Amino acid sequence: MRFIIPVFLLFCVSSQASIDPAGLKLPLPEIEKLSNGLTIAWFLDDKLPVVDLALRVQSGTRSDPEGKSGAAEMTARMLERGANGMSAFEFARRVEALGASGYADADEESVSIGMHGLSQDASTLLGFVAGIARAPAFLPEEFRREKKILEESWRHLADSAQSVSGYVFGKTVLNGTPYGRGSLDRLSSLEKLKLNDIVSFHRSTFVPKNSILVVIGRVDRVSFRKKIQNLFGDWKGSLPKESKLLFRDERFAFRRGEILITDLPDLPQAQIRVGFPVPGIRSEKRHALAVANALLGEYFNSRLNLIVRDRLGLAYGIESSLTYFKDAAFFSIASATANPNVGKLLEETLHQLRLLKAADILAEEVEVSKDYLIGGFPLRVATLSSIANRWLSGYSFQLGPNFLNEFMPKISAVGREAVVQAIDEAFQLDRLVVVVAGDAKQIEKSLKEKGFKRFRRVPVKTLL
Amino acid sequence: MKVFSYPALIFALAASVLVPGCSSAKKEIPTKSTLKESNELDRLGLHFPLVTHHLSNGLKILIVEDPMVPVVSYQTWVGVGSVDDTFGVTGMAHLFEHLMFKDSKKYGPRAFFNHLEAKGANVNAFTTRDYTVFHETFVPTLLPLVIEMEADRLANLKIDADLLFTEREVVMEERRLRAENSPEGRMQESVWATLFHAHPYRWPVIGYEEDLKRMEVRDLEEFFEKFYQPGNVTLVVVGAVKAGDVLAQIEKAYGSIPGRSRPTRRVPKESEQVEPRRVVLKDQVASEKVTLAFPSTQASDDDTYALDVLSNILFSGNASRAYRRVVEEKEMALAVGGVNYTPFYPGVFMASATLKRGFTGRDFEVEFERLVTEVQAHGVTQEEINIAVRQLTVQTVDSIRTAQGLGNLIGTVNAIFGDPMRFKDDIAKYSRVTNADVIRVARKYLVPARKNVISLVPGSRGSAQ
Repeated sequence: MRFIIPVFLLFCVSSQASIDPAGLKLPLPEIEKLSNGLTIAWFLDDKLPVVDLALRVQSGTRSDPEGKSGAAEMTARMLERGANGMSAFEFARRVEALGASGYADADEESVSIGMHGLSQDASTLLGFVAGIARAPAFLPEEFRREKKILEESWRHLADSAQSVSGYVFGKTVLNGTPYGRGSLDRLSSLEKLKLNDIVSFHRSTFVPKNSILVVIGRVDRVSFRKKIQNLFGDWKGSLPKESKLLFRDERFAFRRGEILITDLPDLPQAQIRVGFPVPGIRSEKRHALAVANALLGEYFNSRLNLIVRDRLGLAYGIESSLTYFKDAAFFSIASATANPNVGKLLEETLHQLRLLKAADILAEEVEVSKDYLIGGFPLRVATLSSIANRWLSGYSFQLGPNFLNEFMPKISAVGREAVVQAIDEAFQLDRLVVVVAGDAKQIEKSLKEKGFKRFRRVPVKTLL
Repeated sequence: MKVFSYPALIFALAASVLVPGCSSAKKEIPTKSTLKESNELDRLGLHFPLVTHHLSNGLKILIVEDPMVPVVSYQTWVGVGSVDDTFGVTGMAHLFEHLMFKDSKKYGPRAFFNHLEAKGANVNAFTTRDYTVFHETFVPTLLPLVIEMEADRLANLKIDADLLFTEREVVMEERRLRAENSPEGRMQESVWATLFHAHPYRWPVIGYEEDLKRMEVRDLEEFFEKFYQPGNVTLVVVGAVKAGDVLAQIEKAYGSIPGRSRPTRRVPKESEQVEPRRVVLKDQVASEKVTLAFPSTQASDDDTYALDVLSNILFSGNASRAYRRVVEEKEMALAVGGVNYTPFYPGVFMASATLKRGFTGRDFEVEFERLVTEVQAHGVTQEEINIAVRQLTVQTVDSIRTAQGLGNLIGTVNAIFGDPMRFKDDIAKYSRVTNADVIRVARKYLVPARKNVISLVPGSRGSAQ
């Protein structure tokens, strides 16, 4: 596609036909700070007439005060319920009139608000972001309504085996870390939450020193910088204290060798999650583990997919992944199969994990996995938004300013021995968490047939 | 938490269609076409120099050069979907999509994964009711290999009983995942089966388990022979390529594959629905879910534009009429959504809600009918129409942010209309929708006699009609 307005190359490549790991240079943002401490990251690009604005506040659900689980989640929800003296409807109508969209989200590490729309509306959209961040309505009636919606939504957790298995797995593997409470630790916590808790969470965390504003797309930097100064220059507040709380929940206590089963008796297919904690994002083994993950289960050509799907026809898909937080991380495998096949699928999956742990890895496999990661990297950063999202994660994890451009060379430098060592250290098979959600009777029968003996049922009602 | 959900255009496009008649084996000089109509996308500075070409065997090729990012999207659009399956043998088009990755003469088993995905390419495919698409996204160095491999499987696919057996098991697991294990999946199957009694849209794209078990190798060989041939295929290539080079490589790789006329579809017409229909399903869910579905237009029908605008006004965003009424004012639903889904043949206008405990699908039905009656009686405001058009415009710009996105848009619109740049006309047509148009389509399509109600209520499984 070619556009009238001149564009600059999104990538600088030494040769267009090359995927030389050292040759791909992604654009880094220009960073500046307002005098009040608000960081601004500029990812400017004229290619398309659109703009994305994101304000990330570096306090999420792990920062929920003790006894106030749900504070970050409810804060995010309330940020969508009116601001700048406008009702929720008036605000939404103003945004939608531009054809724009907005969001407010909470995750473990942050609460983010954002706007997406046409570049010609960038200043107006920035005004909306500032209004949401600095002057949310926080009306009691809206709080009551949002709380009710969250409560009712929570009750739908068990509608899906995928949600149940992911939920139980996450809680179990993260037990004892700062994470795992998620948006809400249990329904009874929501009942105790008051509007004042939300106001307090917002007041203490929505401060410039705890925030970063990311500007992505087509804007005029000079005039936009002035607009930012006008809207955020007098924003004040001191940096909040980092939460020291750890998540502990006996319902999801880890017991070695035990398979957790949630009974969803009507379902013909079971969802399976297998995994364990691994070293964190700043570990030197990170890139070797990325290669190990690709080799085992990240893509169609990985071992697990070759065996479980292509050879045995047991599943539509089986995928492994590494999940990183700032101060914790885990490896997981996810799949689904007919209830009577759970034992077989699990047996094969654990067998493959043991093979890796025993260093049964070919140098050729390692090279293929590296080729996959290196060759696929340009696709994963093909838009400025995708670069910005990845950069923002790295920024939050304090990975250094150039970590994205280090990815390909570092993967390239990984050899078989590094992968074997990383697996030896990181694959804690004695910390294996196994969770299955489906028809428990059929699942247990299937597991017993394959020699698995220790099960624990996690009833649906206890999840809430 | 999004402020609003995506509007209807993409649903309308994603539904689609068969490439209409490219059976004549003519050779054309490649031409660069630019659009003359001035519209919102032109005003925003977006221009797409599209190269269109036909090989003598009927293969159609669409190329857009985009040198900005060192990425290429290569898409093979085959004019076959579940609409081409037959009753009792449903799911063949989709199963075939899987088999296309298994083995071929020159490159052997799992070639797309061994040679392309292993080099970082994104390799996948999808099947709709009207067409099947195979797509790869990759760095430009892989393009010659991709062209060779795609041509090889089109000419020389290998199928045997062992491959069929294993892949059928995989598809049955996919069916359990998407349809049988999922409350929403079960409801969607029921929507189409309730709305359509004669038309092949009544069965699911993935097919029924008992039908999948019946298929044999010879059925699949006949299917391949009929549908997988150049006269029934369009290639879409977008990204860091030179059109002339690509055309030369494609000509070399595909030129000798024999082409035939596009297979003729003989699709029974659905009778006009004359009374409401109701289905009740049961599942282990926390509260009731409901979908109201009305027979709608096909993509090429001009009423589609007014119905899409109405759909946006009712469902798109927190300021939409349905969201305000049922989520905020009546507080009966956790979420509400809807779409005017318009494939090649007449589709469906849907409104769905997840109710709070204490409310029933009937409550939602009453409120939705009130909303529709208000539109039928008083219309909508010009401001609401303007917002809907603006939303559709932004969404179109968003959809072309990547090479694959632009390829999908071009391929879909080409499949529906035979004109790959038709989406630019769509924005202009949305802009011309009036209040009178919205009132007229609401009165014509959203009437009680055409209503289908699919409810999913808490309880043990099984359904009662």
